[in-house]
Amino acid sequence: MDQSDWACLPEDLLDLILSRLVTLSDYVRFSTVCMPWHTFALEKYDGERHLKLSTHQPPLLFLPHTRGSKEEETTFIISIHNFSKTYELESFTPICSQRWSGSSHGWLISVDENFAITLSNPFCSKLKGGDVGIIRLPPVPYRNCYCIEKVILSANPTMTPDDYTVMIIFNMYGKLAFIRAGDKEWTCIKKCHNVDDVIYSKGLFYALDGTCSVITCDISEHNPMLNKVSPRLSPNLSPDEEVQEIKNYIVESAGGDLLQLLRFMDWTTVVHGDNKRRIMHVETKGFKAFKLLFLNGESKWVETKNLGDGSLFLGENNSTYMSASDCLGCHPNSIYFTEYCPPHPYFAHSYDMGIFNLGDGSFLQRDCVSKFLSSPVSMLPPIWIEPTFQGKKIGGFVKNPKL
Amino acid sequence: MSSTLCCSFAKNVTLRSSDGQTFEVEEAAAQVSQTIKRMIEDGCTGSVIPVPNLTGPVLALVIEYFKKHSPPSDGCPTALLEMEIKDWDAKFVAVDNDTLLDLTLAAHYLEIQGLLDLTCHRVADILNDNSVEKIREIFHIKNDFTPEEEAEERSKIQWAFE
Repeated sequence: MDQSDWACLPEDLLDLILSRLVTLSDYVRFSTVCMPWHTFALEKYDGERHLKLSTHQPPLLFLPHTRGSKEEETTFIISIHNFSKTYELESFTPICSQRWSGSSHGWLISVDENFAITLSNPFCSKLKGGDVGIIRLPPVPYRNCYCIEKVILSANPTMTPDDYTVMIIFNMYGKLAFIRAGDKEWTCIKKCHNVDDVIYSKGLFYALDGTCSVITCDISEHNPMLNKVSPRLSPNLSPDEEVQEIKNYIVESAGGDLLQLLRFMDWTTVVHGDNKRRIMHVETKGFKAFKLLFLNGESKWVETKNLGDGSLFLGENNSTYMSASDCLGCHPNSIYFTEYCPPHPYFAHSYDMGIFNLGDGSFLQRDCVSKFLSSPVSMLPPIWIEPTFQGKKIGGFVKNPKL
Repeated sequence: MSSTLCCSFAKNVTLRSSDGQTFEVEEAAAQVSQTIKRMIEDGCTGSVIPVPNLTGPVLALVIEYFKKHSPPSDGCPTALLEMEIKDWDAKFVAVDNDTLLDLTLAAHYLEIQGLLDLTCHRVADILNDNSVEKIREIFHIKNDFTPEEEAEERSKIQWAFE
């Protein structure tokens, strides 16, 4: 049988078709239909398409799950445009036993009891053997570290193995420290305290400090340069909101605006399990969004109920903004959130998650996870993760990036 | 006066398909195709314009598209008209896959940007909605990977498959 004319379409036609595929999984399926499409997709991927795909992937919900009675952890991933369907990642077993400390550029980040940080990439195959897609960082040596709240990456180590930075929020005072590819040890950033969230954009880290102000952090010089770029946020809260717990997030919109999100939660103590352990139960009540505006040379936080086309992904992951029009099935002006679970023994994870509509304050898909899970559940909470695809390098060819 | 004359005596051209069928169509409509437009401008329109890459039935379809998309005589398309054309377009490409392939290749050869957008979009929709096996079935594409190659591809990126 000769190959179908569809397989042998002229390259510019294939290109037109390929440019209309949005999600990575569509792209991957396209590349697996036949050899000519495969060759074309991979060649194109290494070219200009690479950037578009690597920056526009709707996050997936990464959901570890203990199957049956055995201590056997399997991982599902759920794509947001179809909450009723799960995909199983057979070749990936989470190496973390307690909690995630982040996900960034397709890498999951976990911390062990000695504060050693491990990055693992569930989208790299393990079939080729060895520690493929795993990067182990030196332990964080600070005395009284207590906990590592969040970890983010400035870039995908697969793409730029010699040029990326890992930034952490650590200890009970919310301090920042970082390590660059090739560094032997961590560098602590002084004079920045009670950091709630941190993101990276165009050469700078943006940290949200204890006064709800944004501090930029330039680590290109030997001594990190800090610069306060926003006033403090003093929101007007209703009596209900006054008594709720608040967690702050920082996000950069597609148009380059800085957004600050307040997450309102009820914390209640419940008695849990046979051993009557008292744990904290967290339930998200709502969000408020503030945009940083520059007027007459001054910056100012202004509350907004309209993020336009924006969908935000918040939780343990690198806080992310997506344009809903770029992601199939993504709700605009909405916040996709996973549970907030501080690294403290009083907190047990609770699948407090869903989609919050910022316009009308309603929630969607609050029970999306329970549909898939029968007990016993995993020790690990769900987390958003951006899928990554390494073109020709994919699957087993990612060498242990230097660190 | 002159504009009335122009409308009532719109200039026609004759297109000939690969199997020798001929079709008469208004010149303005045929110029929806950049390829034909260039041929007319270059003066190759003595008697008949050959379209050797298209069979009669495909050329007939393309001419339907020309007619629907020829610039309106009063020069300003209304919103209502645009809506109607959009609906018409959607129906126009809701065809079997052999015809979709013919239309895609025709739009490519004749440089009809609107039709090309339409058909590529339709193909992308089919790719979005179906599994790899189904895509092969729909487009009659032979799986030319060896079983080992296919298994390896899939194991790498298994989550992308339904």
